[in-house]
Amino acid sequence: MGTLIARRLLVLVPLLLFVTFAVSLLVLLLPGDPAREIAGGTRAPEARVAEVRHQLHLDDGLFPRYGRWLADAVQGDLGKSLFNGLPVADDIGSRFPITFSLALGAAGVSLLIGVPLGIATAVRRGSALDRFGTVLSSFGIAMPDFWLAILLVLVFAVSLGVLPAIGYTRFGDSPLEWARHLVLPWFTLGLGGAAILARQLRSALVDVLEQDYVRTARANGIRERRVIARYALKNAAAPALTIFGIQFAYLLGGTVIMEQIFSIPGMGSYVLTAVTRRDLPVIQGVVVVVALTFVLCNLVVDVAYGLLNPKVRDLTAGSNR
Amino acid sequence: MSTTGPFEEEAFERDAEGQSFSGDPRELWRRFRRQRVAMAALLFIVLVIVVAIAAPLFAPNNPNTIPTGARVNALPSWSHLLGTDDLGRDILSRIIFGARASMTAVFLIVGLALAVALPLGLISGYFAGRVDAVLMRVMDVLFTFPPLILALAVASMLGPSLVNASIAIALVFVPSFVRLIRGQVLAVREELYVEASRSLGLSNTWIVRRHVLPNVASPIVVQAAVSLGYALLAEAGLSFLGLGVQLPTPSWGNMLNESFGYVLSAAWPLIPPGLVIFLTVLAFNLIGDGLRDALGRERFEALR
Amino acid sequence: MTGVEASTAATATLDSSAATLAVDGLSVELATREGALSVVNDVGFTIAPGETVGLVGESGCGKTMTSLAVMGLLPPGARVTGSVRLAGRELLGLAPEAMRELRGDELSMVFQEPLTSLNPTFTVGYQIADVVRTHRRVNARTARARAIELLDRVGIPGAAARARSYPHELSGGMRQRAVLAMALACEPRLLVADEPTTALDVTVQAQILELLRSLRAELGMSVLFVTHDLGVVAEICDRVVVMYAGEIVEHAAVQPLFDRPRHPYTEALLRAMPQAAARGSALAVIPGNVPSAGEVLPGCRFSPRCGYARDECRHAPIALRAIDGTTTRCIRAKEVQLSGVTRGARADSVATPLRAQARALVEVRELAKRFPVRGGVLGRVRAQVRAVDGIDLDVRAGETLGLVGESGSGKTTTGRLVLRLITPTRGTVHFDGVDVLALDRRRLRRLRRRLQVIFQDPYSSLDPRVTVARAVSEPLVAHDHLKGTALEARVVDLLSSVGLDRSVLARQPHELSGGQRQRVAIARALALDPTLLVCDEPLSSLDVSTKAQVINLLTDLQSRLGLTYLFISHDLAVVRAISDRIAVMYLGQIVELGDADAVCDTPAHPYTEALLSAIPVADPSARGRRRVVLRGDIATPLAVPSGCRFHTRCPYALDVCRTEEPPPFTTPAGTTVHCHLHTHPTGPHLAGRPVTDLATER
Repeated sequence: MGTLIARRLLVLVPLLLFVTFAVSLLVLLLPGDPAREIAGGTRAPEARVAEVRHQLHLDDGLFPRYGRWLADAVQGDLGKSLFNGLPVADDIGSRFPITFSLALGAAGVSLLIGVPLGIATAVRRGSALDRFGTVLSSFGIAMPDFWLAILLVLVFAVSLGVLPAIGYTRFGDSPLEWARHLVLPWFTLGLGGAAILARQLRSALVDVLEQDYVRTARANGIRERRVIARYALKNAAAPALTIFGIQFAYLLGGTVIMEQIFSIPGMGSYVLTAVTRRDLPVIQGVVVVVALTFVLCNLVVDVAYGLLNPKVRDLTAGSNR
Repeated sequence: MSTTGPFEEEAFERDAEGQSFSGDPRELWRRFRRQRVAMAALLFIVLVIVVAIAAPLFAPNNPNTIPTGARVNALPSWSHLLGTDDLGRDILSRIIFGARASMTAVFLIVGLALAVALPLGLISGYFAGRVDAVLMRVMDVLFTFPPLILALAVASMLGPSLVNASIAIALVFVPSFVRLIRGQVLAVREELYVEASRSLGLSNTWIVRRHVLPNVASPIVVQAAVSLGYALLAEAGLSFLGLGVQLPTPSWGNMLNESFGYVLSAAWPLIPPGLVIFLTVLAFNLIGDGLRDALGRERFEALR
Repeated sequence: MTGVEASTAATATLDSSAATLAVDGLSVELATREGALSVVNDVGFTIAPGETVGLVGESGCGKTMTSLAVMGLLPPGARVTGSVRLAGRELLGLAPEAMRELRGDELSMVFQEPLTSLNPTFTVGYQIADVVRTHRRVNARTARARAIELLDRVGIPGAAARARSYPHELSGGMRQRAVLAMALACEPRLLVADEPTTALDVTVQAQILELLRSLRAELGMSVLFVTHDLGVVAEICDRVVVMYAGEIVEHAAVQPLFDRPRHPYTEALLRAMPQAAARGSALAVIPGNVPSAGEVLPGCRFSPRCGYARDECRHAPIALRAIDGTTTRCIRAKEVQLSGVTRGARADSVATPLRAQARALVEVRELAKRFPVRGGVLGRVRAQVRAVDGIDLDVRAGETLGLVGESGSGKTTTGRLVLRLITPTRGTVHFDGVDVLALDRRRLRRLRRRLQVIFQDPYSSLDPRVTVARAVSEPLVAHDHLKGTALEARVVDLLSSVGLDRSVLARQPHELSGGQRQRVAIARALALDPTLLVCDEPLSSLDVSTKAQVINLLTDLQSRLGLTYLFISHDLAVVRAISDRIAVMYLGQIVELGDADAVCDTPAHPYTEALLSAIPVADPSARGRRRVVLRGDIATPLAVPSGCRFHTRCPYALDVCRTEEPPPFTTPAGTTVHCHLHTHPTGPHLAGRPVTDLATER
């Protein structure tokens, strides 16, 4: 188990280096000239543009820029926004928890709805419940989340007036309001995830229920509920978990749209404005933080996988026959 | 697996079709045809494509002209079957023309992604070794970016337009396609008939062309069909954020973007574009499911 | 009291209320898209307390369905009619919950696949304890203790530690023991065993059968033993029920069944066993195929294939009738002289003239292959799997060299090395004087024509998408660039030489039977006129009668085309029947190599002796024979024992065996053997003592 974690962590470092380097490269290739824009636009004097460029170190080559960025980043300094001069790390610091709570809440909704649905449809395979569940999950997968958000806003905020349409309240200020503002985005993101999770879990569980070891358990008289809840689920959880990990990536990305629609001041809206304005340090910072989050989440998923599936832990196992 | 006749004990519970699929495309079509829901979905998609191609024939009005004195954000009426948007333009016509953008984008995305992923996946899976290791590391790097953010970054880098957005999204799809193709190729490579082919002295090119490719084609086709749905969602999403098709050219996504400002006052124009996105994605997914069932569950391992 | 003597009249006189299991008029129908399919038809038999009844038949005969019906484990959609009574209590029609309570408690089942029968995510001890806690009111600690006790009873060493192991850490034999422990946890009255040893190595099978014998005696348990292997039936059953196409065709006590079968199918099965054949002669074959479920045949279901069939056999369905204590479904049973196992035919086995010439076609020297195993944080190589560890071998032109071994022996890897499908770590392979390993790609390709291979699983060795015509013609197109009518003619010619006609040309593998697929694979291998044919377990996935057909085909082809065979198999019975010389492999080395007769009649190595002893003998009266049952499991090629690799299991191990590898020694019979018993001055000698093969010793 320890080797598994150590191995993953070891891979983490070069991976992060690659990712950050790729982002620097990407950012460098962005057309448009932020120096010019800051200096005053197309009519700015060349000298001024050059001066700004030099000030912002935009005239250095790729490697020096990356090196400088890396050195700063390791110390927690992600540079300053090209447009308002505020430290990127600060902004990310305040916005990250918001986005993360959005993603986490949505993930929670996915689990709460998807898991029972997946299990129920797998166990009652072929029944009316199964068909209904499959139709439901098909709808959930096909639904564009921005449209669902709009519909939910129309129903709950405009018609019924029970939930606020936009805005965000800090948890510290009022937990109730915090929750009320996040309910709609949570459900919007979560329902799509729930549909996919339900599908995957059903498929994994159906496969597991056909395995020989489930037959053995039944042949020895183990109660059916226990067969499903313990014997089958533990084996089906592992592949479903992997899918869930991938889903989380989509959730993290999906926050961008949600934050736009619901006017939530998270990292999504932050990076969106940065992208339209070519605010390079911001883009770089956000992408790196998100990538890091995702990699760590994957690590957690891998560890959980190892806990669930003992075969994975022991890499030299099984040359026995 | 050896059978001396259907008296065999396991025959009753195999895949959806009770028999493993042989790989013949005509057989596939026949099995697919038996599934009514999937066929209905296919019909729908064909309809959408036809309408998209012959848009001027179908649209009652010009999608871009702003008629003078027209009612704004109007509900459906006989002159405007789906009502009008915030500038008085006919929504139905805009949706019909929007089909062009969306369908083009969708097939462009999946086509590009496959074109890049197929050779990469084949080489990586068949030859394995160092090439495979390097390629997988590159894919891993791509995988760590949450998809929308990567698409955002690339789309903005190239400039907002239909083609550029498509390229960006295709880039996001490449790693998962490569992984799928590679996985399938690896599995086929381990099959006994590939080893038998090598023992017969057949060359690698021959084996790949005649044994590997045909046997990995089916799961790839299914994944491609399902991806069409995801591609549409992604393109609509980017357009909604303003990074795809640029106004005034209609696309289902940017129609929602336009009308979003009026969500509190005039909600109707928000309904048709979203609905048609939903239905089209649903149709693509149902086709994918139908294909998967036609091929039989046993040929499927980890698909998305 | 063994059942052999006591139950000669068993079938007629048992009172069903005293029987552990009484099955009467059992019929099972499966729901399929084409309607209801009858898979079991009017089956009835009883099992007395302490008795073992064998349920025998080939695949598709309905024996597994019957056993599942008894256990109440049929799939949903199956319709069952009739009666199944366990100690007088009717099981069919019981509420599912009531049936569940009985399962694992009063009756339990073990299945064929030990590798997948245990849940990989729970420890072995946990799974056993769970069964105990389901049926008995005990706390967790007691259940755990019982689990350890059971593991010990089934012969797993270090049971306390093993209970905390996960299934993937155990070998196949140990897993099957663990599964048995689970099934016996609550001391059931009836154990249903569905092919429990089929997937195991033959020495492990012998151990498990021994274990079953001792357990049933100790627990007074009844056993329903489902199998296709009549040899195993002879070893362990008191009475036998033979099934064909869903019906019982014969039901008799075990000795009478083997001495004097009363149904042509039973006779055919007995004659088709490789053990029964005289060496060098063709195996008896049952022509035709098992009827498919939908096929409705008026009259006897076996009649299309029966050599004794007459008109009256084909008219009306035949009922069971009793003859001399045996029940049979053959109306001609009394008239026809059906013969049992041909014993004694081997004692004077005619020395077949040596087909082989002295010339060595394949020369293997010092061949070795190691596979690195990576692990740890940096993925460094932590250990080596010594799959093949320095072997010397000659295959003479025109002969059949049998390469025999169990799992981990390296025999399959050797086959692949000879063909250069994988590259060896060291050593040389010469084919007809040419150094195979030194060839460049182009010349290797040309050489490949002469070296062909037939694989174990004909289903996967043929591309499922490719028709028979394409599959067989592929090498001809790729190498010789044949086209059109010339190509077609050659393909048809090849197919006919393996006994298939044109009608299969357009078919795909899944439309053919197992035997037909293997023939197609053989035809394909012959397309390029090879000199050497490596047969890698070509029969393992085939039925007994299909095996016989394919063996006969192979021997026939060999004499017609002058082929040389390297025949790799774990089935010593088959190897013995067709090989000229035999090489026995254990853990990557050849421990004995010599003429087939010499190796089988006077084995020089303890492992060979054990292998031969483990082959089930198709004669119940041979049960009392002296057996050599090995201790422990096959060591893994990952951690090879020091000195002589076999010393950890060898019943004759000396001190020197632990430290030094034995040098080669040639016995007077001409066999090369690696064993200290022959070379060390103080050891007892094996050479010259006949092995316990009953067929010879009559």
